[in-house]
Amino acid sequence: MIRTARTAVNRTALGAGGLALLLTGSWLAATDRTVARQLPTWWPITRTNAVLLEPGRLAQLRSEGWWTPTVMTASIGLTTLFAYWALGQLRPGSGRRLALPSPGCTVRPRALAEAVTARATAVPGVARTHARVLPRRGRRLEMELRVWLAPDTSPDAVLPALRAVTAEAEGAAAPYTTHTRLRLSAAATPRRGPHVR
Amino acid sequence: MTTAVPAPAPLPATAAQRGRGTTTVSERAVRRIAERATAEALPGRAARATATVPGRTAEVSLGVTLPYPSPLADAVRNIQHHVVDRTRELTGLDVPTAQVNVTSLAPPRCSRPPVSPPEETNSPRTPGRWWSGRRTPTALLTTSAALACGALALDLIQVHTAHSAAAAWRVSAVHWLSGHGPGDPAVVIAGGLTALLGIWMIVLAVTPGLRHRSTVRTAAERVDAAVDRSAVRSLVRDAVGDVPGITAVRVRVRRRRITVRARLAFGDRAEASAAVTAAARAAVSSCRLRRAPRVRITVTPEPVWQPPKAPSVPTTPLAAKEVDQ
Repeated sequence: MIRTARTAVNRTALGAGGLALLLTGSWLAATDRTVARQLPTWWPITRTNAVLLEPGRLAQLRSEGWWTPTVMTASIGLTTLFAYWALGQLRPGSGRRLALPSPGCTVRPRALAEAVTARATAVPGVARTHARVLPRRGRRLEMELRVWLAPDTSPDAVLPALRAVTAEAEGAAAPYTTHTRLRLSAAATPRRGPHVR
Repeated sequence: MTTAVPAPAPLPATAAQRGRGTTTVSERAVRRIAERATAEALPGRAARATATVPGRTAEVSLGVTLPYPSPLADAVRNIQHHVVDRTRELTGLDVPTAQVNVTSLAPPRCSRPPVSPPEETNSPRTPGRWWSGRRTPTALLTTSAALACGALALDLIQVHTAHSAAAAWRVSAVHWLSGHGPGDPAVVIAGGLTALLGIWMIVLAVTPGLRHRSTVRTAAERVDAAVDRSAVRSLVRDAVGDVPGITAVRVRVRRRRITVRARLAFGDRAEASAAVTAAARAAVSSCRLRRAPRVRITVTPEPVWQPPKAPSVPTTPLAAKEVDQ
Protein backbone atom coordinates (compact mmCIF):
# COMPACT_ATOMS: atom_id res chain seq x y z
CA MET A 1 0.00 0.00 0.00
CA ILE A 2 1.44 3.32 -1.07
CA ARG A 3 0.64 5.68 1.71
CA THR A 4 2.59 8.89 1.28
CA ALA A 5 2.70 11.30 -1.61
CA ARG A 6 6.49 11.18 -1.48
CA THR A 7 6.47 7.47 -2.19
CA ALA A 8 4.25 7.99 -5.22
CA VAL A 9 6.41 10.84 -6.51
CA ASN A 10 9.63 8.89 -5.98
CA ARG A 11 8.30 5.82 -7.70
CA THR A 12 6.84 7.75 -10.62
CA ALA A 13 10.11 9.59 -11.14
CA LEU A 14 12.12 6.39 -10.85
CA GLY A 15 9.85 4.69 -13.38
CA ALA A 16 9.86 7.57 -15.86
CA GLY A 17 13.60 8.15 -15.56
CA GLY A 18 14.27 4.44 -15.82
CA LEU A 19 12.16 4.14 -18.96
CA ALA A 20 13.97 7.06 -20.57
CA LEU A 21 17.38 5.61 -19.67
CA LEU A 22 16.32 2.16 -20.89
CA LEU A 23 15.16 3.47 -24.28
CA THR A 24 18.24 5.63 -24.80
CA GLY A 25 20.62 2.98 -23.58
CA SER A 26 19.13 0.17 -25.61
CA TRP A 27 19.12 2.34 -28.73
CA LEU A 28 22.79 3.16 -28.21
CA ALA A 29 23.63 -0.47 -27.42
CA ALA A 30 21.80 -1.63 -30.56
CA THR A 31 24.14 0.42 -32.76
CA ASP A 32 26.67 -2.36 -32.41
CA ARG A 33 27.43 -3.64 -35.91
CA THR A 34 26.53 -7.26 -35.28
CA VAL A 35 23.24 -6.31 -33.68
CA ALA A 36 22.38 -3.56 -36.15
CA ARG A 37 22.09 -5.98 -39.09
CA GLN A 38 19.34 -7.98 -37.42
CA LEU A 39 17.15 -5.05 -36.42
CA PRO A 40 13.67 -4.65 -37.95
CA THR A 41 13.12 -2.08 -40.68
CA TRP A 42 11.20 0.37 -38.48
CA TRP A 43 14.12 0.73 -36.04
CA PRO A 44 15.47 4.27 -36.09
CA ILE A 45 19.00 3.96 -37.42
CA THR A 46 21.67 6.63 -37.67
CA ARG A 47 23.75 7.37 -40.70
CA THR A 48 27.25 6.04 -40.71
CA ASN A 49 30.14 8.04 -39.26
CA ALA A 50 27.80 10.07 -37.04
CA VAL A 51 29.12 11.34 -33.73
CA LEU A 52 27.25 11.95 -30.48
CA LEU A 53 28.02 15.66 -30.51
CA GLU A 54 28.91 17.50 -33.70
CA PRO A 55 31.42 20.30 -33.01
CA GLY A 56 30.02 22.44 -35.81
CA ARG A 57 26.50 22.23 -34.49
CA LEU A 58 27.70 23.08 -30.96
CA ALA A 59 29.64 26.11 -32.21
CA GLN A 60 26.56 27.26 -34.12
CA LEU A 61 24.41 26.92 -31.00
CA ARG A 62 26.95 28.80 -28.91
CA SER A 63 26.87 31.71 -31.29
CA GLU A 64 23.13 32.10 -30.80
CA GLY A 65 22.21 34.74 -28.24
CA TRP A 66 19.65 32.61 -26.33
CA TRP A 67 21.87 29.54 -25.91
CA THR A 68 24.10 30.57 -23.01
CA PRO A 69 21.37 32.03 -20.74
CA THR A 70 19.14 29.04 -21.42
CA VAL A 71 21.81 26.48 -20.55
CA MET A 72 22.82 28.44 -17.47
CA THR A 73 19.25 28.85 -16.22
CA ALA A 74 18.46 25.23 -16.92
CA SER A 75 21.53 23.93 -15.10
CA ILE A 76 20.96 26.15 -12.08
CA GLY A 77 17.28 25.26 -11.98
CA LEU A 78 17.96 21.54 -12.27
CA THR A 79 20.63 21.75 -9.56
CA THR A 80 18.16 23.40 -7.21
CA LEU A 81 15.43 20.90 -8.05
CA PHE A 82 17.61 17.83 -7.54
CA ALA A 83 19.20 19.17 -4.37
CA TYR A 84 15.77 19.99 -2.92
CA TRP A 85 14.53 16.55 -3.88
CA ALA A 86 17.53 14.83 -2.35
CA LEU A 87 17.10 16.79 0.89
CA GLY A 88 13.46 15.77 0.97
CA GLN A 89 14.53 12.14 1.32
CA LEU A 90 16.05 12.79 4.72
CA ARG A 91 13.94 11.65 7.62
CA PRO A 92 11.73 14.50 8.75
CA GLY A 93 12.39 15.55 12.30
CA SER A 94 9.59 15.74 14.79
CA GLY A 95 10.69 19.16 15.99
CA ARG A 96 7.66 21.13 14.92
CA ARG A 97 5.21 21.66 17.76
CA LEU A 98 1.67 20.43 17.36
CA ALA A 99 -0.98 23.09 17.69
CA LEU A 100 -3.89 22.16 19.94
CA PRO A 101 -7.40 23.51 19.38
CA SER A 102 -7.12 26.18 22.12
CA PRO A 103 -5.35 29.22 20.67
CA GLY A 104 -1.66 29.44 21.58
CA CYS A 105 -1.49 25.93 22.97
CA THR A 106 0.98 23.40 21.65
CA VAL A 107 2.39 20.00 22.45
CA ARG A 108 5.83 18.68 21.70
CA PRO A 109 5.53 15.61 19.41
CA ARG A 110 8.56 14.18 21.17
CA ALA A 111 6.66 14.24 24.48
CA LEU A 112 3.89 12.14 22.96
CA ALA A 113 6.45 9.75 21.50
CA GLU A 114 8.20 9.40 24.84
CA ALA A 115 4.91 8.65 26.61
CA VAL A 116 4.00 6.03 23.99
CA THR A 117 7.46 4.49 24.34
CA ALA A 118 7.06 4.22 28.11
CA ARG A 119 3.61 2.66 27.77
CA ALA A 120 4.66 0.17 25.10
CA THR A 121 7.77 -0.88 27.01
CA ALA A 122 5.55 -1.75 29.97
CA VAL A 123 3.77 -4.42 27.90
CA PRO A 124 4.95 -7.89 28.97
CA GLY A 125 7.05 -9.50 26.26
CA VAL A 126 8.35 -6.23 24.85
CA ALA A 127 12.08 -5.75 25.25
CA ARG A 128 12.53 -2.29 23.80
CA THR A 129 10.48 0.32 21.95
CA HIS A 130 11.15 3.30 19.79
CA ALA A 131 8.38 5.69 18.80
CA ARG A 132 8.29 8.73 16.56
CA VAL A 133 5.38 11.08 16.07
CA LEU A 134 5.37 12.99 12.82
CA PRO A 135 2.93 15.81 12.20
CA ARG A 136 1.31 15.66 8.80
CA ARG A 137 -0.85 18.08 6.92
CA GLY A 138 -4.46 18.56 7.91
CA ARG A 139 -4.72 17.41 11.52
CA ARG A 140 -3.07 14.08 10.91
CA LEU A 141 -0.35 12.44 12.88
CA GLU A 142 1.79 9.58 11.80
CA MET A 143 3.19 7.44 14.54
CA GLU A 144 6.02 5.06 13.82
CA LEU A 145 6.31 2.48 16.54
CA ARG A 146 9.08 -0.08 16.47
CA VAL A 147 8.91 -2.82 19.04
CA TRP A 148 11.62 -5.36 19.81
CA LEU A 149 10.06 -8.54 21.15
CA ALA A 150 11.64 -10.53 23.95
CA PRO A 151 12.73 -14.05 23.01
CA ASP A 152 9.90 -16.57 22.59
CA THR A 153 7.29 -13.83 22.40
CA SER A 154 4.95 -14.04 19.45
CA PRO A 155 3.24 -11.06 17.84
CA ASP A 156 -0.07 -12.61 18.86
CA ALA A 157 0.89 -12.19 22.52
CA VAL A 158 1.68 -8.49 22.36
CA LEU A 159 -0.57 -7.14 19.59
CA PRO A 160 -3.72 -6.63 21.73
CA ALA A 161 -1.78 -4.68 24.35
CA LEU A 162 0.03 -2.65 21.69
CA ARG A 163 -3.32 -1.88 20.11
CA ALA A 164 -4.39 -0.54 23.47
CA VAL A 165 -1.25 1.62 23.58
CA THR A 166 -1.98 3.09 20.17
CA ALA A 167 -5.65 3.58 21.11
CA GLU A 168 -4.48 5.55 24.17
CA ALA A 169 -2.26 7.71 22.01
CA GLU A 170 -5.12 8.31 19.59
CA GLY A 171 -7.33 9.35 22.47
CA ALA A 172 -4.71 11.69 23.91
CA ALA A 173 -4.04 13.41 20.58
CA ALA A 174 -7.79 13.67 20.09
CA PRO A 175 -8.44 16.31 17.43
CA TYR A 176 -5.70 14.72 15.35
CA THR A 177 -6.25 11.42 13.58
CA THR A 178 -3.33 9.18 14.32
CA HIS A 179 -2.15 6.57 11.88
CA THR A 180 0.25 4.05 13.32
CA ARG A 181 2.87 2.00 11.58
CA LEU A 182 3.90 -0.75 13.92
CA ARG A 183 6.97 -2.81 13.22
CA LEU A 184 7.77 -5.87 15.27
CA SER A 185 11.36 -7.09 15.43
CA ALA A 186 13.18 -9.71 17.42
CA ALA A 187 15.41 -8.36 20.13
CA ALA A 188 19.03 -9.09 19.43
CA THR A 189 19.96 -12.05 21.58
CA PRO A 190 23.09 -14.20 21.57
CA ARG A 191 22.56 -16.98 19.11
CA ARG A 192 21.41 -20.15 20.80
CA GLY A 193 23.62 -23.11 20.24
CA PRO A 194 22.29 -26.52 19.29
CA HIS A 195 20.06 -28.11 21.87
CA VAL A 196 21.81 -30.83 23.81
CA ARG A 197 19.58 -33.32 25.48
CA MET B 1 3.55 53.57 45.26
CA THR B 2 2.65 50.03 44.64
CA THR B 3 0.89 47.88 47.12
CA ALA B 4 -1.97 45.44 47.02
CA VAL B 5 -0.48 42.61 45.10
CA PRO B 6 -1.68 39.48 46.78
CA ALA B 7 1.16 37.55 45.30
CA PRO B 8 3.24 35.03 47.14
CA ALA B 9 6.34 36.82 45.89
CA PRO B 10 7.63 39.97 47.57
CA LEU B 11 7.45 43.13 45.56
CA PRO B 12 10.65 44.44 44.04
CA ALA B 13 12.00 47.73 45.28
CA THR B 14 12.23 49.17 41.80
CA ALA B 15 8.53 49.84 41.87
CA ALA B 16 9.22 52.90 44.00
CA GLN B 17 11.03 54.54 41.13
CA ARG B 18 7.90 54.48 38.97
CA GLY B 19 5.39 57.30 38.98
CA ARG B 20 2.98 57.82 41.84
CA GLY B 21 -0.62 56.77 41.49
CA THR B 22 -0.15 53.72 39.28
CA THR B 23 -0.10 50.14 40.35
CA THR B 24 2.68 48.18 38.81
CA VAL B 25 2.75 44.45 38.99
CA SER B 26 6.14 43.05 38.34
CA GLU B 27 6.69 40.35 35.76
CA ARG B 28 8.10 38.13 38.43
CA ALA B 29 4.91 38.39 40.47
CA VAL B 30 2.79 37.56 37.44
CA ARG B 31 5.04 34.64 36.68
CA ARG B 32 4.80 33.26 40.19
CA ILE B 33 1.04 33.72 40.23
CA ALA B 34 0.72 31.88 36.94
CA GLU B 35 2.89 29.07 38.26
CA ARG B 36 0.77 28.76 41.39
CA ALA B 37 -2.42 28.79 39.32
CA THR B 38 -1.02 26.00 37.15
CA ALA B 39 -0.15 24.02 40.26
CA GLU B 40 -3.77 24.43 41.42
CA ALA B 41 -5.02 23.01 38.13
CA LEU B 42 -2.38 20.29 37.99
CA PRO B 43 -1.66 19.12 41.52
CA GLY B 44 1.73 17.63 42.01
CA ARG B 45 3.20 18.69 38.70
CA ALA B 46 5.84 21.36 38.33
CA ALA B 47 5.20 24.06 35.79
CA ARG B 48 7.39 26.79 34.40
CA ALA B 49 5.91 30.10 33.43
CA THR B 50 7.21 33.18 31.72
CA ALA B 51 5.38 36.48 31.79
CA THR B 52 5.74 39.89 30.24
CA VAL B 53 3.71 42.88 31.34
CA PRO B 54 3.49 45.50 28.63
CA GLY B 55 1.26 48.18 30.17
CA ARG B 56 -1.99 46.90 31.64
CA THR B 57 -1.91 43.49 30.01
CA ALA B 58 0.03 40.41 30.97
CA GLU B 59 1.24 37.87 28.48
CA VAL B 60 1.70 34.51 30.12
CA SER B 61 3.32 31.45 28.66
CA LEU B 62 3.44 28.10 30.46
CA GLY B 63 5.40 24.91 30.02
CA VAL B 64 3.57 22.05 31.67
CA THR B 65 3.80 18.32 32.20
CA LEU B 66 0.46 16.60 31.74
CA PRO B 67 -0.65 13.21 32.99
CA TYR B 68 -0.91 10.53 30.32
CA PRO B 69 -3.17 9.08 29.01
CA SER B 70 -5.80 11.79 29.02
CA PRO B 71 -7.15 13.91 26.18
CA LEU B 72 -4.56 16.65 25.79
CA ALA B 73 -6.84 19.20 24.21
CA ASP B 74 -9.33 19.17 27.12
CA ALA B 75 -6.62 19.22 29.78
CA VAL B 76 -4.85 22.12 28.11
CA ARG B 77 -8.10 24.07 27.73
CA ASN B 78 -8.91 23.64 31.42
CA ILE B 79 -5.44 24.77 32.48
CA GLN B 80 -5.60 27.75 30.17
CA HIS B 81 -8.97 28.89 31.52
CA HIS B 82 -7.92 28.41 35.12
CA VAL B 83 -4.61 30.22 34.75
CA VAL B 84 -6.14 33.11 32.84
CA ASP B 85 -8.96 33.53 35.37
CA ARG B 86 -6.75 33.27 38.44
CA THR B 87 -4.04 35.56 37.11
CA ARG B 88 -6.59 38.17 36.10
CA GLU B 89 -8.29 37.91 39.47
CA LEU B 90 -5.13 38.15 41.53
CA THR B 91 -3.18 40.76 39.58
CA GLY B 92 -5.98 42.91 38.23
CA LEU B 93 -4.20 42.95 34.89
CA ASP B 94 -5.83 42.15 31.60
CA VAL B 95 -4.77 38.62 30.65
CA PRO B 96 -6.03 37.97 27.12
CA THR B 97 -4.80 34.41 26.94
CA ALA B 98 -2.11 32.09 28.20
CA GLN B 99 0.06 30.04 25.94
CA VAL B 100 0.27 26.49 27.20
CA ASN B 101 3.08 24.34 25.85
CA VAL B 102 3.00 20.69 26.82
CA THR B 103 6.66 19.87 27.19
CA SER B 104 6.31 16.35 28.53
CA LEU B 105 3.72 13.76 29.39
CA ALA B 106 3.92 11.66 32.54
CA PRO B 107 2.67 8.08 32.19
CA PRO B 108 1.35 6.54 35.42
CA ARG B 109 4.05 5.51 37.87
CA CYS B 110 2.77 1.97 38.37
CA SER B 111 3.91 0.56 35.06
CA ARG B 112 0.80 -1.50 34.52
CA PRO B 113 0.24 -2.27 30.89
CA PRO B 114 -2.83 -0.77 29.32
CA VAL B 115 -6.04 -2.74 29.26
CA SER B 116 -6.61 -4.39 25.94
CA PRO B 117 -9.78 -3.46 24.12
CA PRO B 118 -12.04 -6.34 23.11
CA GLU B 119 -10.72 -8.10 20.05
CA GLU B 120 -12.77 -7.75 16.90
CA THR B 121 -12.67 -11.16 15.37
CA ASN B 122 -14.06 -10.22 11.99
CA SER B 123 -11.16 -8.43 10.42
CA PRO B 124 -12.54 -5.86 7.99
CA ARG B 125 -9.95 -6.32 5.29
CA THR B 126 -6.77 -8.12 4.47
CA PRO B 127 -3.99 -5.60 4.92
CA GLY B 128 -1.79 -4.99 1.91
CA ARG B 129 1.94 -5.26 1.75
CA TRP B 130 4.02 -2.34 2.88
CA TRP B 131 5.51 -0.43 -0.01
CA SER B 132 8.92 1.06 0.42
CA GLY B 133 9.28 4.79 -0.06
CA ARG B 134 12.42 4.16 -2.18
CA ARG B 135 14.22 6.89 -0.34
CA THR B 136 17.76 5.58 -0.67
CA PRO B 137 17.83 5.06 -4.47
CA THR B 138 16.04 8.35 -5.01
CA ALA B 139 18.47 10.14 -2.73
CA LEU B 140 21.46 8.56 -4.53
CA LEU B 141 20.19 9.39 -8.00
CA THR B 142 19.05 12.92 -7.19
CA THR B 143 22.29 13.68 -5.34
CA SER B 144 24.42 12.57 -8.28
CA ALA B 145 22.20 14.49 -10.70
CA ALA B 146 22.44 17.57 -8.48
CA LEU B 147 26.23 17.25 -8.33
CA ALA B 148 26.48 16.91 -12.11
CA CYS B 149 24.18 19.84 -12.81
CA GLY B 150 25.85 21.88 -10.09
CA ALA B 151 29.32 21.31 -11.54
CA LEU B 152 28.05 22.36 -14.97
CA ALA B 153 26.33 25.45 -13.56
CA LEU B 154 29.39 26.44 -11.53
CA ASP B 155 31.69 26.08 -14.52
CA LEU B 156 29.34 28.05 -16.77
CA ILE B 157 29.14 30.85 -14.22
CA GLN B 158 32.93 30.95 -13.86
CA VAL B 159 33.42 31.03 -17.63
CA HIS B 160 30.85 33.74 -18.27
CA THR B 161 31.46 36.01 -15.28
CA ALA B 162 35.13 35.55 -14.40
CA HIS B 163 36.10 34.87 -18.03
CA SER B 164 38.23 31.94 -17.05
CA ALA B 165 38.76 29.00 -19.36
CA ALA B 166 36.32 26.09 -19.31
CA ALA B 167 37.16 23.33 -16.89
CA ALA B 168 39.24 20.45 -18.18
CA TRP B 169 36.52 17.87 -17.54
CA ARG B 170 34.03 19.80 -19.68
CA VAL B 171 36.50 20.21 -22.54
CA SER B 172 37.42 16.55 -22.48
CA ALA B 173 33.75 15.51 -22.29
CA VAL B 174 32.90 17.56 -25.37
CA HIS B 175 36.00 16.20 -27.08
CA TRP B 176 35.03 12.60 -26.28
CA LEU B 177 31.45 13.09 -27.42
CA SER B 178 32.53 14.63 -30.68
CA GLY B 179 35.00 11.81 -31.31
CA HIS B 180 32.69 8.88 -30.69
CA GLY B 181 29.50 7.96 -32.47
CA PRO B 182 26.90 5.23 -32.37
CA GLY B 183 28.53 1.90 -33.15
CA ASP B 184 31.75 2.54 -31.27
CA PRO B 185 32.43 -0.18 -28.70
CA ALA B 186 32.68 2.35 -25.88
CA VAL B 187 29.34 3.91 -26.84
CA VAL B 188 27.72 0.47 -27.14
CA ILE B 189 28.99 -0.52 -23.68
CA ALA B 190 27.90 2.79 -22.17
CA GLY B 191 24.48 2.35 -23.79
CA GLY B 192 24.19 -1.14 -22.35
CA LEU B 193 25.08 0.10 -18.86
CA THR B 194 22.57 2.92 -19.20
CA ALA B 195 19.89 0.42 -20.20
CA LEU B 196 20.74 -1.72 -17.17
CA LEU B 197 20.45 1.31 -14.90
CA GLY B 198 17.06 2.03 -16.50
CA ILE B 199 15.89 -1.53 -15.88
CA TRP B 200 17.02 -1.29 -12.26
CA MET B 201 15.09 1.95 -11.79
CA ILE B 202 11.94 0.48 -13.37
CA VAL B 203 12.18 -2.59 -11.15
CA LEU B 204 12.53 -0.34 -8.10
CA ALA B 205 9.54 1.71 -9.22
CA VAL B 206 7.13 -1.18 -9.65
CA THR B 207 8.10 -3.65 -6.93
CA PRO B 208 6.93 -3.19 -3.34
CA GLY B 209 10.30 -3.66 -1.67
CA LEU B 210 10.70 -4.20 2.08
CA ARG B 211 11.06 -7.90 1.40
CA HIS B 212 12.30 -8.64 4.90
CA ARG B 213 9.03 -7.58 6.50
CA SER B 214 5.72 -9.38 6.43
CA THR B 215 2.44 -7.65 7.03
CA VAL B 216 0.53 -8.70 10.11
CA ARG B 217 -3.23 -8.77 10.52
CA THR B 218 -4.48 -6.28 13.08
CA ALA B 219 -8.15 -5.80 13.79
CA ALA B 220 -7.57 -2.11 14.46
CA GLU B 221 -8.39 0.74 12.18
CA ARG B 222 -5.49 3.02 11.23
CA VAL B 223 -2.86 0.61 12.54
CA ASP B 224 -0.59 -1.09 10.03
CA ALA B 225 1.64 -3.72 11.50
CA ALA B 226 4.49 -5.75 10.09
CA VAL B 227 6.85 -8.27 11.57
CA ASP B 228 10.45 -8.78 10.54
CA ARG B 229 11.10 -12.08 8.86
CA SER B 230 14.04 -12.61 11.18
CA ALA B 231 11.62 -12.45 14.13
CA VAL B 232 9.41 -15.10 12.51
CA ARG B 233 12.50 -17.17 11.87
CA SER B 234 13.74 -17.09 15.45
CA LEU B 235 10.25 -17.85 16.77
CA VAL B 236 9.93 -20.93 14.54
CA ARG B 237 13.47 -22.00 15.32
CA ASP B 238 12.96 -21.78 19.08
CA ALA B 239 9.59 -23.55 18.90
CA VAL B 240 10.99 -26.43 16.84
CA GLY B 241 14.13 -26.61 18.97
CA ASP B 242 11.98 -27.29 22.05
CA VAL B 243 10.63 -30.53 20.53
CA PRO B 244 12.23 -33.51 22.34
CA GLY B 245 14.91 -35.24 20.32
CA ILE B 246 15.61 -32.33 17.97
CA THR B 247 19.23 -31.17 18.09
CA ALA B 248 19.85 -28.64 15.35
CA VAL B 249 17.27 -26.56 13.52
CA ARG B 250 17.69 -24.51 10.39
CA VAL B 251 14.81 -22.29 9.34
CA ARG B 252 14.44 -20.29 6.17
CA VAL B 253 11.57 -17.84 5.95
CA ARG B 254 10.46 -16.63 2.56
CA ARG B 255 7.39 -14.69 1.62
CA ARG B 256 5.25 -17.68 0.69
CA ARG B 257 7.12 -20.59 2.19
CA ILE B 258 8.90 -21.49 5.39
CA THR B 259 11.42 -24.31 5.25
CA VAL B 260 12.39 -26.06 8.46
CA ARG B 261 15.27 -28.53 8.53
CA ALA B 262 15.66 -30.35 11.83
CA ARG B 263 18.07 -33.05 12.95
CA LEU B 264 16.77 -35.85 15.13
CA ALA B 265 18.99 -37.47 17.77
CA PHE B 266 16.61 -39.93 19.35
CA GLY B 267 12.98 -40.90 19.44
CA ASP B 268 10.45 -42.02 16.91
CA ARG B 269 10.86 -40.33 13.57
CA ALA B 270 7.21 -40.06 12.65
CA GLU B 271 6.25 -38.72 16.05
CA ALA B 272 9.08 -36.20 16.03
CA SER B 273 8.10 -35.10 12.55
CA ALA B 274 4.49 -34.60 13.63
CA ALA B 275 5.59 -32.68 16.72
CA VAL B 276 7.91 -30.46 14.66
CA THR B 277 5.12 -29.77 12.17
CA ALA B 278 2.70 -28.86 14.93
CA ALA B 279 5.23 -26.61 16.68
CA ALA B 280 6.18 -24.82 13.48
CA ARG B 281 2.56 -24.31 12.45
CA ALA B 282 1.67 -22.97 15.87
CA ALA B 283 4.61 -20.57 15.81
CA VAL B 284 3.71 -19.35 12.32
CA SER B 285 0.04 -18.88 13.11
CA SER B 286 0.94 -16.92 16.24
CA CYS B 287 2.57 -14.36 13.95
CA ARG B 288 -0.81 -13.54 12.33
CA LEU B 289 0.81 -13.15 8.95
CA ARG B 290 -1.28 -11.60 6.20
CA ARG B 291 -1.01 -14.73 4.09
CA ALA B 292 -0.29 -17.98 5.85
CA PRO B 293 2.89 -19.31 4.26
CA ARG B 294 3.31 -22.98 3.43
CA VAL B 295 5.48 -24.80 5.93
CA ARG B 296 7.81 -27.45 4.64
CA ILE B 297 9.38 -29.72 7.24
CA THR B 298 12.35 -32.04 6.84
CA VAL B 299 13.44 -34.12 9.82
CA THR B 300 16.74 -35.87 9.23
CA PRO B 301 18.10 -38.39 11.75
CA GLU B 302 21.59 -37.77 13.06
CA PRO B 303 24.23 -40.42 12.32
CA VAL B 304 23.97 -41.59 15.93
CA TRP B 305 20.20 -41.97 15.75
CA GLN B 306 18.80 -45.41 16.38
CA PRO B 307 15.21 -46.51 15.98
CA PRO B 308 13.61 -46.64 19.43
CA LYS B 309 13.21 -50.01 21.08
CA ALA B 310 10.23 -51.20 23.08
CA PRO B 311 9.04 -48.27 25.23
CA SER B 312 8.98 -50.23 28.53
CA VAL B 313 12.75 -50.88 28.70
CA PRO B 314 14.63 -47.60 29.10
CA THR B 315 18.06 -49.24 29.09
CA THR B 316 19.79 -47.58 26.15
CA PRO B 317 21.84 -44.52 27.12
CA LEU B 318 19.82 -42.22 24.87
CA ALA B 319 16.51 -43.30 26.32
CA ALA B 320 17.91 -43.00 29.85
CA LYS B 321 18.94 -39.46 29.10
CA GLU B 322 15.46 -38.70 27.87
CA VAL B 323 13.98 -39.94 31.12
CA ASP B 324 16.42 -37.77 33.09
CA GLN B 325 15.03 -34.63 31.55
